[in-house]
Amino acid sequence: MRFQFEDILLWAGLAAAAAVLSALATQLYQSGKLRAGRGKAIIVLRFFSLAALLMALGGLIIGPSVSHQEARLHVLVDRSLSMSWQSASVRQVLSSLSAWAKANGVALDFYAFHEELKKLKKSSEVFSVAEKNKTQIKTTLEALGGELDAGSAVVMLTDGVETEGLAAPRTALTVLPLAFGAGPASDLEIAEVRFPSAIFSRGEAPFRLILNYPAGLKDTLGVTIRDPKMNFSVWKTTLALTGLPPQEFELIFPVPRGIGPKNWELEINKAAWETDAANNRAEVRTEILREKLRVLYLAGQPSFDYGFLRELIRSQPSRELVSFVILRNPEDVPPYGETELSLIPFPAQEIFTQSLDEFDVFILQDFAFSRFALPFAYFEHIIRFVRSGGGFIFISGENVLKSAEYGAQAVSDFLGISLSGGEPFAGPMQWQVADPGTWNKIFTLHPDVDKNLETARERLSGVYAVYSGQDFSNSHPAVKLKDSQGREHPALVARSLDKGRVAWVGFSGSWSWKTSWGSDRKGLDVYDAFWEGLMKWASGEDAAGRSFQVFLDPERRRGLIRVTAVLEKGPPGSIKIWPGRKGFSAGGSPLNPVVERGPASTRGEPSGLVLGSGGKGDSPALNHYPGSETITITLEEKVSGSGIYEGWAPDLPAVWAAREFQTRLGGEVLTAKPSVLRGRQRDERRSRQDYAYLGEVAAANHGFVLGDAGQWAASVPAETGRRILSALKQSRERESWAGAPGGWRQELPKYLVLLASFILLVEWAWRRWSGITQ
Amino acid sequence: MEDKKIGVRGERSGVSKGILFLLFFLTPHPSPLTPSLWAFRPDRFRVGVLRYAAAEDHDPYPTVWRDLGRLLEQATSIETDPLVKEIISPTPRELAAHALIFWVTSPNFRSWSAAERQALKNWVRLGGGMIVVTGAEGIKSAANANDDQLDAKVRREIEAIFEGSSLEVVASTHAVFRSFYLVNQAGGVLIKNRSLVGIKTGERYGLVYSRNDLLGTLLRDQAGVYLFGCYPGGETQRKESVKLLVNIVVYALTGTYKQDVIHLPFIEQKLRLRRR
Repeated sequence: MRFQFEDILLWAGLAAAAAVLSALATQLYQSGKLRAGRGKAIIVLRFFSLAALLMALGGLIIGPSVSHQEARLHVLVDRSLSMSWQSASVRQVLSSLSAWAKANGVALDFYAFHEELKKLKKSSEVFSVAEKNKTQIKTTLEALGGELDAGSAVVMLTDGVETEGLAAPRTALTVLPLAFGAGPASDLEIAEVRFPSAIFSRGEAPFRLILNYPAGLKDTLGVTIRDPKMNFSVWKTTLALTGLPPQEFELIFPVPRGIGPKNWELEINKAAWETDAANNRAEVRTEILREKLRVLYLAGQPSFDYGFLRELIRSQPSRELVSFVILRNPEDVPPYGETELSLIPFPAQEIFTQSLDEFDVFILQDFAFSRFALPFAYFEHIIRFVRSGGGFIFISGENVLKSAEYGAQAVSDFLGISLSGGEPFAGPMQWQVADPGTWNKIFTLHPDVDKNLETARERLSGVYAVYSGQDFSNSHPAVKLKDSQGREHPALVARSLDKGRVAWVGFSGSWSWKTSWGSDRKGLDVYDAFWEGLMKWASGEDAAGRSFQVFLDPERRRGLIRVTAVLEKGPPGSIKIWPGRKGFSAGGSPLNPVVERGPASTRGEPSGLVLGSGGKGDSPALNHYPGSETITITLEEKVSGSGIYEGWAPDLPAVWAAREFQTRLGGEVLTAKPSVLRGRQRDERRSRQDYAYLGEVAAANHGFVLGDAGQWAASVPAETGRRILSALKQSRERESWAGAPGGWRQELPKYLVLLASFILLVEWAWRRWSGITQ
Repeated sequence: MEDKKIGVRGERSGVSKGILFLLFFLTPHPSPLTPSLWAFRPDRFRVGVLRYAAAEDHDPYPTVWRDLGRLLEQATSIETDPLVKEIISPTPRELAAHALIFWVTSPNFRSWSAAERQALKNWVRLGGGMIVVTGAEGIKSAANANDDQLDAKVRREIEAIFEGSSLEVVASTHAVFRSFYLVNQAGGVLIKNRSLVGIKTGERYGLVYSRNDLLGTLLRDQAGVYLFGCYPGGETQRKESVKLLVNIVVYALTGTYKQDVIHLPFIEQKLRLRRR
């Protein structure tokens, strides 16, 4: 029993009054005045006082003495639909609660509710109650209050989602809500991440991670650092929880190749015993620096292209080049002996199986594996190299075109092009773009606008017929690319593949761009601009800081949903985004049922339904071209230079089903996986609201919030268990005053003491002024 | 071959005509007579030969280019253009289509114009161009030309083209001497300078100069017999000359490739073996 200050005052007053009364009675009895007529009246008054004091004393003693009754805890389980994904957690909590009750001699009664209350015989019946859409906490508690004795302790398992409104009910029960879904406390949370602000590419970065979790809990959890922008895991490892929180981990992070600022997400994988993984994530901001760009260059034969490109790569001290040229084919027979040759054996196995990952960019020029009796399986290593973040530039040539090995489907899938026409070895073969999304005009590749070849298009077109669909000056006549309309172009196909990038260069002779630069050496150095741009692109340098994110908010307005895009270094004004090819079903049919064609686009964006940005007030601007096949959403930058664009999209299945959205920035098509805001942010906001409501319910019903259900996964936390026992005891004390209505039950001893004091005061005054005593 | 005198050639005009006839009509590939089938392949090796004065001055050995191409095809993985060479003027437009040009000097060479010098200089500094200057000692000896005067003139011209730069001796360990074969000496028909000299542009040589008549060592008559004997080294000297020519081409195509660290231990090992 916990005494409050007023209880101590009450006991002290009672003791003092009893002492004074005893002293007065003794004094009067000794003086013989009690035997007089007025003395009898005084004795009556004093007896009344004594009776009142005894009643007060008795009340205080009798009230708490009912603790011998059996403690009974009522468990009320929310079976609304919003709790449906918490079933596993509810099961764990009930298990923990049953174990705790058994250990503490507490009997449990079970109830389930959604819009109506149902009494259960045992805990397992909870899950037999159907989940329903409504959650009527107010009605339920009032109904339960009518069934149970006043002061009964009720543990309510709920997420706090109330469909009746947010007015907290008031009952005579002691309501102890246990919050599901979220709350200020969590089962496991990342307390701190100390990650270095700058790390070197391909190095090792030690960092510290501090976790809080329920004491005594031992488990092994996975930890992942992922790139939310690209939606892939950068690194994975496991952590062993020792049961002694807060636990500090020192981890070594192997830094990947990609450079530039990184906004990663560190996530502790959700354990089976966890109900809320929202606090298992932390943002990791760092910048990957590159000491040197490491380039591996392998050429199938000596050529001026090789010589020029080699010199260009070597001209920058920030690059490190390792190159190999096949100087002699197996069929070549030098007229002089082997000792006259300076040739070294080509370390094919070492390059393809061991050393490849040490490089950022791999340039493979006119190299056919079969010609050098090498297994084509080595190409698989290149694919793996790219998928893990490497840059690969494949320069076509005669060796490649004569080789059937590059006709394999896996190669086509990898490079984004496929062979068409002609038989290998029988004549020149032609490549065709397999994936139109990978096509990239070579003259718009350079990320720097000033160095972008597009800028010099007019001047260059007079020198090289690059846009007319005619031959590229000095390009290889056999390696042209056909576009969708059958026109031939000098070829460059560039595409991102998982973490890396692939570029297929379908022409040779670019060295003549350099020698054609002109005697004045003014203007744009086409050769340098192209190859520098391509190497930067392949190594991911140009992508540093180009974050593109898309958010879909289900907040609807006149059949539209809000779309927000974040595009760092985006253009001023507006951008257009559209669902990428992955937005379509596996069978290739568009998910969008609107299938007719709209006006043609001039910049490569898909034509079709074009939506304006959000208008002012309640009427978003919407430009709808009826009968469209695809969707283009125009988003406007809200604050100039912010890179945040907002607009509206139709609430169509195709929009929701899009697994990625695309936009064009410069010459590059950026993709982003959309995030739906009904996810974490929305949940967190709602959970805070719901948790606050549970706090109100508890306060209005003599209880308190028991915390978050995640803490109960393994067992009832010791401190929480003590608080429940205390609440149970207090609730039974209050039950003992059931004879007095309402607040009188608690206040009666005080009034009795006051009555006794008043009687004694009257008696003293009567004696003082009527001369009974002197 | 030893009995052939230096500077003695066969019936020059007859040989040239005969070889050209063979080239035109007997080659198995498309010929210049069928231009519709002809397309320059920039991924195939071709040299430019600088034009000045008469053809017999700037291209005194018109048949050796074919032999050079055959040597390259036979020994290396280099794919050569069927014509191998193209006569060009030192203008930006004509230079642009080539990355390796030969300037064969003769007494009738006077000088390049200022514009031609500027074009050659820019072309070299643009990145990949390389000029090979070679004398025609066999012819000059036959004509009793004052070779020293010509050499001085050529050196003055080179220094006029590359203002501020001067010719330097190409070290025997340089990549030019190791780009494909391991070459011991500068070679040529007549050893007048045991070293190769050149102008460096950055880390590479943009111009190399040999006055020893490197090309003359490849010249054959209709029967396939070498026309010039090599002095003083004989056939060994010819072999080194041929190796050096191949190396110059490979060097023009691969730059300083053979100076990469990975090659050095292998090359040193081979050199040790050869010394034994």
